[in-house]
Amino acid sequence: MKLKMLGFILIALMLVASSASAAEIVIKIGVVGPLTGDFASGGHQQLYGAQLAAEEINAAEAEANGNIRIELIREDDASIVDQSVSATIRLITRENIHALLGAFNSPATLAIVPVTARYRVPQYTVGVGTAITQQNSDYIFRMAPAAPLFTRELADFAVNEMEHRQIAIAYTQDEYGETCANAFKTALAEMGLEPVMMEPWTLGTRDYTGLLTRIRQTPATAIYLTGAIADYALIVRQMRQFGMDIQVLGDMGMADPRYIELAGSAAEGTVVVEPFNVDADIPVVTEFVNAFSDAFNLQATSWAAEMYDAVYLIYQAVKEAGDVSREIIAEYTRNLNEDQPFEGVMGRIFFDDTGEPTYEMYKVQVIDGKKVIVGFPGE
Amino acid sequence: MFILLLNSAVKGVILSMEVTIQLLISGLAIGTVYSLIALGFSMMIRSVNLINFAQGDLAMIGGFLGFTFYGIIGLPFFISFLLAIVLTGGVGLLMERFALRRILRSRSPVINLTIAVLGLAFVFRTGAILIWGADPRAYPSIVGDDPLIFLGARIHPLNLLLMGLGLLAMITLHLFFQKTLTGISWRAGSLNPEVARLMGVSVNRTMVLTFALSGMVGGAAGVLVAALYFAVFNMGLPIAIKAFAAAALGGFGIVGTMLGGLAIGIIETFSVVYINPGYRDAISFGILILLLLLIYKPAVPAGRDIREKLRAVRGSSSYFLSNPNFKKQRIVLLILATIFWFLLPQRTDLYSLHLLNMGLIYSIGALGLQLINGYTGQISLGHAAFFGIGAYTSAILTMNFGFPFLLAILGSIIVAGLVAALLTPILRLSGFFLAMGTLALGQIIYLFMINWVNITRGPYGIYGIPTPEIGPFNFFEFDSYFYLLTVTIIIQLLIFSRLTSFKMGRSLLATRENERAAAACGIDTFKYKAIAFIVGCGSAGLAGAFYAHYQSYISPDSFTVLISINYLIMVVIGGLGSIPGAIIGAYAVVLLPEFLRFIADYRMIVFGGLLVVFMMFLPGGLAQIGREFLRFLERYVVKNKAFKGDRR
Repeated sequence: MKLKMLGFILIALMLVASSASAAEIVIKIGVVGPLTGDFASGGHQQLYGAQLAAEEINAAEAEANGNIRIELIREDDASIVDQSVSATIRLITRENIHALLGAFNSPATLAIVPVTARYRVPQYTVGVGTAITQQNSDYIFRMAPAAPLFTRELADFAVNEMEHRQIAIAYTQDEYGETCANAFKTALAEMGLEPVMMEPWTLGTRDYTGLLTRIRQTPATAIYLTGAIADYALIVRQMRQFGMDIQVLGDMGMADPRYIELAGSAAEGTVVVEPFNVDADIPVVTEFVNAFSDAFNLQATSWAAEMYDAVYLIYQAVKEAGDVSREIIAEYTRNLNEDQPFEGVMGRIFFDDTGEPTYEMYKVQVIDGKKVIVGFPGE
Repeated sequence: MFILLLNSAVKGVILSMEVTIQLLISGLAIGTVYSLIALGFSMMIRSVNLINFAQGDLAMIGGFLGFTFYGIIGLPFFISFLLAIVLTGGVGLLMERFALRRILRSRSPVINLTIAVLGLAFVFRTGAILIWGADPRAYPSIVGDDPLIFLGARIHPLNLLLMGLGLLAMITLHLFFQKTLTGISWRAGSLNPEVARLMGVSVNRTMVLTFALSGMVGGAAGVLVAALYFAVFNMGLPIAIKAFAAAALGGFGIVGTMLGGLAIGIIETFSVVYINPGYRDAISFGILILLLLLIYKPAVPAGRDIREKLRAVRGSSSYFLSNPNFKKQRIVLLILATIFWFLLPQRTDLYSLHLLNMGLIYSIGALGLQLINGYTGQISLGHAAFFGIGAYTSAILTMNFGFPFLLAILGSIIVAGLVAALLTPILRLSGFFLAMGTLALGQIIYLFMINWVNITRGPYGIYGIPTPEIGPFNFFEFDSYFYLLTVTIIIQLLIFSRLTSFKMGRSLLATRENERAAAACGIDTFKYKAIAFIVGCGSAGLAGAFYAHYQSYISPDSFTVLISINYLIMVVIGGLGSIPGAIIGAYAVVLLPEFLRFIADYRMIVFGGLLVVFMMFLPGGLAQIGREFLRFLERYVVKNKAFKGDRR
């Protein structure tokens, strides 16, 4: 008697459970990035961006009685290549994710591109390394502007708007720094100029007297610094201590609000380019920036914005198809084009055959400790 | 390569007076920091014989404590400085009391202690992220930003203030050692523990004092460096490497170390002006190796202290494995193990299979280090460099020159072995001097990987490395790679078992146990050390080749000093001098961080903590567990078969 009752209840429960799960579409998205290790703060930014989007989507779906739910599975790679690969394989083969966000560092990203290509999992990354999209994978999509793209705009602004002809380049000796520095050099060459000095520094250097002394031997009126944020924040500080009055140019790394915090008054006058600006007078951007700082008590960077958009893009793909699979998401992403882009916080997003996006950059200057837009995209 | 260096040197500039002064002040300021941290190293090495890898992390803790008191709570700078010193000293005390004392007492090899300290370093670093966050934190301005003008040079007053504080700390320490009874007895204890004990010096107190003091100097250095630059959780290691070099340069004496730190600071600041900054560290390290080899020739004989208990294993440790009466059981066991191993890929998912493969790749390299470290007792901290040489060689040979896979990996072994052979003069060093020398070599090779762009593509790395093909077989799938690796490691094990037995093996062990006694017995100890080093590094090259073709992407990032440290951890937690131990250790290091994924942010804390616990309770490494198990099996069989053989 009791057993019979139990049986009924069980069957009833199973029916309820199966009807619910049949209707529900769960999008599993893996996030690989450094949550510990040297680049932990960047890794957290991209994770938070994705998290915010997932929470918003899940809340909105619940409210509208929708059937799509996003499940984020985060993995730490401590910015160690081996761990990125292991984490990615784990996410793909064990968690059966539909899409992958990451990795954060270019070398780690380069190492997992063959893995996502092998298992045909769409991968969205914030890495800027040029080679990332050159491995013949149909499944890699760069959410960030590639180095040639933003360095060209920066060089153009420095030379044509600010009228600097003598520009030096210094960079962290890693994949990111080297990629940006070389791209900037190429951009200068396109305008018939050559850098007056081009020199690397070792990641984590603390005293830059030597490098600065060499810069002073050149006629440089401006310098492009790229690489690790704590490093060039120190360079700029030490430059001011030496009384060097040189225009500092930077990219998205320098657009990070922490740069102004770390460099203090020495950051004054710095000009940077970024594809995303928190002060841009665009409703979606303001909404995102406010929600982000409410949720995490941090100012959003372009990394957060890019991953926020990536999650919405994946959601859009699934929503339109009414079904979820790796191929549906990859196909949707590939089919975006200039006429039919994805509209997000980063603006209009679409990718070329290699997975490279097109962005136009904000030109921003640090004035009175605040970032002020001095040139709008396309200007 | 050296033409490259020379080319850069031509860029040299002539310095004016003011620039020279500026460079000098900067060099001295960073040098003061190196000196203080180096003092921590020296004290530890002199009294406990320990390379304290956590020294840089103690400085990091000091830097953050200073930031908390000065930047957050708002106490005056000098008070914050003192508080940070005292509290970091306290951290040093806690380290000794709760983790290291047990290992010190158990008289395990010093390298065990080193690994435990490394574990603590992981704990500190991850703990700092949890407490203070992953972002660098800047101290609020202390003395304003207006520079002082001195002979035309602009000098930041902060530089002077911090240099003053650093010198003050060093003078205090010097006076403490010279003038106080506690200080004098510490020196006595570090010079000759036995005699000092007879004179009534408590060895325990010396130990406690050492840890407290090195915590304190670390704390002082941390506040200085963080005030000058930033407090950030990973600031410890780069500074610590230089500081260790400074300590070695100063011969690990108190005054020598102070001067060594200042010297390294000045050398590296000035060298940047003349030499491509990319090679800056190569210059510091190159000079260091030359100095070590040419001037000091420090002669600490290899081999362990007679007071250390014999923990490492000799040959076949278990009766069960060697007694002819157990032949049948052994064969059954071997067949079962083989079947199990070869069926494994069918029973596991891809992720586990991937981890199995990574474990095998690192096992090949770890076996090489086992030969160097476990068998001849030479501590190498440059193993990752040879791993990298192998990886680059094979990648370049297959991609640029169209070598077939087998020839390419052969090339990897040969190139790695040749480089090792060229570097054998470094084996004249021993103990922690050798550790330093190999660390410096590893760093220099790493810098060449980054800077020699024409060959290695620099920091971009090499991508699209093809999967191996041998005749008609392609090893693209994980399971086929697993079999390929298994066959390779079996061949390697056969070669190694030849090398480590018979006359060769006995000579290696004799060299490790007591170099002088071995030499007296007519063993050419240098020859055996060199053979072990070359074969060991060749194995690392082989592992590197397999790594490159497996990951299909390599960059200098995969061959940093952290990987060298990982290799050392593998060998020690696996069990020094144990061939299976190297494999077990490799798997432990590959698998543990993966198994611990479920605890997310606390992962590396637990991993570090486990290293400490292993060293506390398993001084013979994880192989000890296996050994105990075999002994248990042996007893079981003996009991059931009523077998009464002779028990050795």
